[in-house]
Amino acid sequence: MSFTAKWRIAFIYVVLLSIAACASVNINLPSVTDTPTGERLPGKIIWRDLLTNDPAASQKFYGELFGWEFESVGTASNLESDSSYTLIRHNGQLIGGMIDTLALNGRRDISQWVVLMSVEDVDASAEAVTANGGTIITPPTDLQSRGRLAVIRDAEGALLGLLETRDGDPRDSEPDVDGFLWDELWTSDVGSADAFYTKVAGLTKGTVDVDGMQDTAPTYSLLKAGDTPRAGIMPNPLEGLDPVWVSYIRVEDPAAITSRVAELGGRVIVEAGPRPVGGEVAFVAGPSGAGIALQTWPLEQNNQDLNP
Amino acid sequence: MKTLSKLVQISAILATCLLMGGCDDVRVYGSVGYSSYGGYGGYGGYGSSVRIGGRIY
Repeated sequence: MSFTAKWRIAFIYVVLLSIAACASVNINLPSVTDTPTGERLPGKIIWRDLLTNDPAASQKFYGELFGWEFESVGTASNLESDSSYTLIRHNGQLIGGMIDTLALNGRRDISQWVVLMSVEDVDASAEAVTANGGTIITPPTDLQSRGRLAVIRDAEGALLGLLETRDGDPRDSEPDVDGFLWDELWTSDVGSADAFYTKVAGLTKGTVDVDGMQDTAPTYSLLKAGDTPRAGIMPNPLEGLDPVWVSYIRVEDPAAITSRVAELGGRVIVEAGPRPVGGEVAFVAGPSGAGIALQTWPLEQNNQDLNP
Repeated sequence: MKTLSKLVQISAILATCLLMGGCDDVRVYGSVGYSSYGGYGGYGGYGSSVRIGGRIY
């Protein structure tokens, strides 16, 4: 066989291997819950993915502070080395995922928590995103058992996912200690954000009238599905921070957590302190720089003072 | 014959590039360009003076 013929065969072999490799990148992430309801709850934040440039340090940080457990599914999902994915569990229950951003072929640091909001029809919601000033990062994409996901930025630039689950969303329940409690958009234009999420996710606007909050957050807004508050929107409290969705973890003692943040590679951004409406909050960054808030729950206040 | 062979090779290269580009599409976060936090940016030192929100209801 001539050298040219051998080269051609080798080349064809490489092409076929490339095709086979591409075909094997078949994302099949598990459902967002072990006990899907078969029902979608549009507007609810049903999942959170941590994009991190240091998965090992992030596992240690969240594992030691909150007792979270981590389960790699990269190989099982055929994601291979270019897109490894790790499930996060708390008390045995699925609560989120973690992605090694160094495997996403990006040279920029994109570390952050990304919330996934439930939608009934992700294709229709994606159309509403572009019609209302948002940006599509990833068009609606099938993730098999998980459902169909689009990654977007809202009109002010906050990143989030819109997920149409295949098997239904997690049911509403009282959050566990060290589990996710609440989600909040910190943005540059609360009114615009209200309008955006009303149109994209079918939520309605609800204002807050709570003793103690009038001076500190006069424009705090609720996103509601029917009578159920699903998320909050408030003016960005940190100068220079781009609009961002922030998730809150229910903790019993924020100060006890913040005292350990530095030794685990994180930073305390807002020290633990009391809330005007009751309880305590803090805001910290993990080893990759992704921010997460801490809050005690329930409020130590008579609910009659709260008038949504 | 030689020209045809070269055309086949170029087509194969193009096909490979296109296919690998298609692989990129399935990485749902692969096109996220930046973090709101700017990586290890200089946020911090706010004490507890900054009012953040949190769940109310």
